[in-house]
Amino acid sequence: MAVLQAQGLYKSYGQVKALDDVNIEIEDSELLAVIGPSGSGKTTLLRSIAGFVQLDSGKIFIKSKDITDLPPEKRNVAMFFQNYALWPHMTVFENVAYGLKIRRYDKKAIREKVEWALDFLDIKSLAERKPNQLSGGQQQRVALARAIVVQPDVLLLDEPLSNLDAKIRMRIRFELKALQKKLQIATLYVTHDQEEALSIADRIAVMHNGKVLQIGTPQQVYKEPVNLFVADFIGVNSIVRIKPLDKDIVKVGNLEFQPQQGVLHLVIRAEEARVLPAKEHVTLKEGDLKLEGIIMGKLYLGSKHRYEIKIHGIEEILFINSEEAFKINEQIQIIIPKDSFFVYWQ
Amino acid sequence: MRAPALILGGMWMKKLYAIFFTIIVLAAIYFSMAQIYPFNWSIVYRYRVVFLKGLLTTMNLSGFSLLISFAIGIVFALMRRSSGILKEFALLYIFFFRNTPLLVVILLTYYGLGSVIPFDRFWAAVFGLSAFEGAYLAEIIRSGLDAVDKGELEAGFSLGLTRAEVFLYIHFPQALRISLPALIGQSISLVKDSSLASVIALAELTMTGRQVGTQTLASFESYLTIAIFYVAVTSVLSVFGNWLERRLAIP
Ligand SMILES: Nc1ncnc2c1ncn2[C@@H]1O[C@H](COP(=O)(O)OP(=O)(O)OP(=O)(O)O)[C@@H](O)[C@H]1O
Ligand SMILES: [Mg+2]
Repeated sequence: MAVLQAQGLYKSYGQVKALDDVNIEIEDSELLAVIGPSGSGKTTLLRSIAGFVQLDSGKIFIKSKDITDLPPEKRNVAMFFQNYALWPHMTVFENVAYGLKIRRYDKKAIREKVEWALDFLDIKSLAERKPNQLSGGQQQRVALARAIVVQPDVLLLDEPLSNLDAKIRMRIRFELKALQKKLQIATLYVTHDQEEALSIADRIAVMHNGKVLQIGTPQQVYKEPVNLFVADFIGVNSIVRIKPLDKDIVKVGNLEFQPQQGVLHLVIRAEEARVLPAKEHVTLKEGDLKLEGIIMGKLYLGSKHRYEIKIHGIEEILFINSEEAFKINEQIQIIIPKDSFFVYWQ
Repeated sequence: MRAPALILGGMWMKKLYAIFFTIIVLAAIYFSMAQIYPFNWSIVYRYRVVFLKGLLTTMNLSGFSLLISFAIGIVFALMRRSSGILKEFALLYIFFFRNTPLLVVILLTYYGLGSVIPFDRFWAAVFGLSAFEGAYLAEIIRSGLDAVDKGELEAGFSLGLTRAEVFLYIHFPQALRISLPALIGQSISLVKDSSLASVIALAELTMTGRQVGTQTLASFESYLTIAIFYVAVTSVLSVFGNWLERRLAIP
């Protein structure tokens, strides 16, 4: 059963449509990642679920109860803030205990629950410190402890890792995922980092201009993007645009496409494309794409090279990484498996 | 272990030198003036009860005005942050009192308002002073309230705290901490501004000084005396303020 249901959410700020008919559901103990470029409406969606945004229309249900018109404090939804928003005048213990205190738990129950949460996040030793005496990572744990200790129905996380440096991010990413699974809290996780979303989400919602373009598992979103925007936003890609000259068939490498309205956009998952010497014989599977070209430039990236490749008959330059070494001006071929490129007319 | 003690000692020595030097300069000025002007401190001693009464009145006037003006400050700061008619009213209030001289405000409350509602001088001064300083305090408190991170308040709401609880336990304590130095400064101004109540012949410190000065012709002595009293009262306030600031400081 869906813990959270949002149906037909609309919100405009003047001319800007921050939410444009948004429909999402989160299942019990599911982690739904919402991704999209800056200004796509992710934060607005999160804040409207928390009750801080007055919707123009739409309904929000938590455990089948309509909470659309409830104030934030009545929703039993815990929000985790990008800057942690800890209360600097209270100790770590008090920060975590406050949500329980006003729920009128007795002293002993509060102590037990807070200690459980601090223990859970491995910060018990920091209980008596003030937030200003903690590192960024520690503050983040306190903020998480504060959010989970009240056992919310839904946990809302807005770019929870964006303040941490790249190395810690990687580690915390998986800790967070493990924690969420252990707690079995339905979670909405906002990020603009598609890689982060792919690695921790059960399902992903891709937003653009206030619209949810696609919702699906990471595999679905990666392998079957519904449109050019989603295809391009997910993964590391090279895009080629080809304007058909006449009504004839459009030839791209070994494949042919029926011309349609607009320009042909070929999105290539650069991670999946293989670069080989032109002479080498390869047997193509049905639907695989083979492009022939010439190396224009290269960049050394440690374990591999990034090649700048000019494809015969196509003006745009492709950027593709490969572990193999090629020389400038060397003739090459690029093999792209059939589920690693997408064609859209737009 | 030795170095910090030395540094501390150094700091204290510097302070002592400064105080010592100031005293020497003041004494030099005093005694060189005493060559021309015959100081007669026995007059101040003779009028000690009058002076102390004046001091008491000033302290009462300042005390009541502080309480009332803080109440006004908080209420109007909240109104200023709200929307609609209350906000407009607060804006108008603050605009009016920040752009009117306190002297005029006190004259207005005593002679203007006083002709409608019978006030005695003391309460007329208290109300004038409170209304005036309240406008300044409202602005100080408002900027303190504005300075608190909105996320901290929303974190409170999303954990189930009501509006009143968020204000009382998170918003206001933080705002107070932020605006404390400015509030102390304004409180000290209030004590000094209370001297303007002498315009409606309230026998507070300044009025007393003037009266004793003109009656006995020992103006220098009596004005110097009340100046020292003002410094004493405001010093207590600023020492208290420093203590409060240190106590409330977040490590
Ligand atoms: N309070 C507001 N007033 C006016 N416009 C707003 C407000 N909040 C959001 N918007 C606008 O709504 C759109 C969506 O904003 P939102 O903050 O939801 O984007 P986002 O996806 O979270 O972006 P980011 O990745 O930069 O955080 C933006 O165009 C933004 O300018
Ligand atoms: Mg955002």
